[in-house]
Amino acid sequence: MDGKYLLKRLASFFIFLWAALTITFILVHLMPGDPAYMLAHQYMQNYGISFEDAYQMAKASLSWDPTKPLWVRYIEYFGNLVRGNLGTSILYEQSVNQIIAKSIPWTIFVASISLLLSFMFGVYLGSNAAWRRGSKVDSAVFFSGIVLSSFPSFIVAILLVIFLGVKFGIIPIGGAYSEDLVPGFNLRFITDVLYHAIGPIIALSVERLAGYMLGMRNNAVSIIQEDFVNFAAMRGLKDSTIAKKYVRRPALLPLITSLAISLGFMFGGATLAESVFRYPGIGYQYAQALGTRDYPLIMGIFTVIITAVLLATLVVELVYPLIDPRVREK
Amino acid sequence: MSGIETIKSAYDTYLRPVIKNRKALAGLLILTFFVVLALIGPYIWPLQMESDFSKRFLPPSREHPLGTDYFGIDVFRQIVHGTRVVLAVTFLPALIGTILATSIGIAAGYIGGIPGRVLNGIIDIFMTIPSFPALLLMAAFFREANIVLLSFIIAIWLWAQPAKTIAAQVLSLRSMEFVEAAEILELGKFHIIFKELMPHLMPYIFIQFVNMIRAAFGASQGLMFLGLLKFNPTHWGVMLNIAVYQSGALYVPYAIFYPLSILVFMILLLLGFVLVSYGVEETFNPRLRKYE
Repeated sequence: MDGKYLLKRLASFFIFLWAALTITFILVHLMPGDPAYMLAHQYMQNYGISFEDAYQMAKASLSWDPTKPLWVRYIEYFGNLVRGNLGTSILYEQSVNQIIAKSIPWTIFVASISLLLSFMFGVYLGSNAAWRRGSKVDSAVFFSGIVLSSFPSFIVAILLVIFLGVKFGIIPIGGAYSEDLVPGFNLRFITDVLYHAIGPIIALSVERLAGYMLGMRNNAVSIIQEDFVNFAAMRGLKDSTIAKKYVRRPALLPLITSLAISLGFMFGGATLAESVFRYPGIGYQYAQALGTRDYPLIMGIFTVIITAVLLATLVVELVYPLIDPRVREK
Repeated sequence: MSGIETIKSAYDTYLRPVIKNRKALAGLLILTFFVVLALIGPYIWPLQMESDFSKRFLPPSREHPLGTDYFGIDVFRQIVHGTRVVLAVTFLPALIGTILATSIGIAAGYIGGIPGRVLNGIIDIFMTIPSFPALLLMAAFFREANIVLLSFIIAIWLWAQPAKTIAAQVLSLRSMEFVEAAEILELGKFHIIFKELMPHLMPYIFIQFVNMIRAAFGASQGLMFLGLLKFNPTHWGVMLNIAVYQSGALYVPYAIFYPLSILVFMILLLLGFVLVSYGVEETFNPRLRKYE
């Protein structure tokens, strides 16, 4: 990898970030409805002030002024963004940066564990199924993959709350740790945190496991039909060698890309599961912000979600040539 | 006559091989069940939406096969009535998304030069914007939604990935001899796109359409479940939102039949979509078909 490649990738990262945020900005500002108007009514009731005063207040706290031309608002928006200022949340009356910093670790915690677990199990089961295609193992993997694909995270989350949570009381049904515990680095707190993470982790994993299982199976089934695999068999290589080195490795490559991309998508993907468990990660905060129409917080979290996706893409582009020699030679 | 022939040849090329696939057939049967339920169900089981709090959270009985909700309204009848709107906000976004993906994808793959690059750039940018959070963001600007509006804001976040696939396919077809021949004969862009490229693209477009149906179902249910928009109260996502967040039925042990029934219907319909989508993929992807 040379410096020119690195520079090119970095440039495209920033161009895409700018373009994606610009498109979102335009779409959001073309939407009907004036959030400042709605907030002004709220202020009017809460503080007992005239509508004009309330409207001024609302415009200031939202950094949203529909009377200004679009390009002025656009420059203001990017000016604040470049300075790393995401504004102040209406709901929490706290800086958006702080709220995001507090919630990100929780999501990284549950989402990365879920991703790694489903990836490992999915790859293992999928490659075994492909290797013994047509066998009972294969049909079991394929059938369960299809059934599990019909269990999106929020459905699993609700099922877990109903059965394991309320009916049998095995798992906690809300929060990231028991309210009577003081956060700290001690065994009691850590086990409590792990205990509270079980529900969200399972909810986030089911559909994903199915995806990796079926994806790995299909990739491996395609690769088994390649000439180089036949040739390896003709050369008298051991089955286990062919399975590991000739089939699993090339079949894994596209999945590693998708794993890395999924790491980027984890902030956005956790919204539903986290809100069922009231798990205080970035997805839960996003749902809260959306539900209360807290525009600064919504836009702030959305910016983080997009940035994470682009960062993951950047990492894939930088690392891929290292693991796939075919790309390196080009 | 030619109309009937076109339908018959479309049936032979697309539907027959799909029906031959066992998974797709099972999925189609599930979908047929729901379509029939949507068409005639509401006439068989009329719905009274008046609340009767003395009947709150009743267990299943002969009168109320799936029990009642917080307001004492029959859950089964609500689900049956919701089937129509559920199917509508699943198929309509997929249809709009397919039209967008096909037209933008073909244009991006076929037009060269700067316009082509701009189109490809737009596709790439939309692909990097995570669709579900973006959908939620747009939804937050509306107080309530109707079927058409909802379908459009879902479709905006569906078309990019399929458009990319179609554009790549067009690009590889363009260098084929039969397209080159048509270009040398100066048959015109219209002829090349619709008569030469389209027949080869149809299986891909069909796969994308089926996948978009699945995505649109998940997106609409998730969006409504969060309760960001006022929408038809019998939509299953809205029902689930009321069950989980508004009425707290989740935490009332004897009321679990209510949220559970909604979930079972959602899972069954989604299973239908998943089966059709894998069946279609297998039918048109020879590498997966070989070892069936």
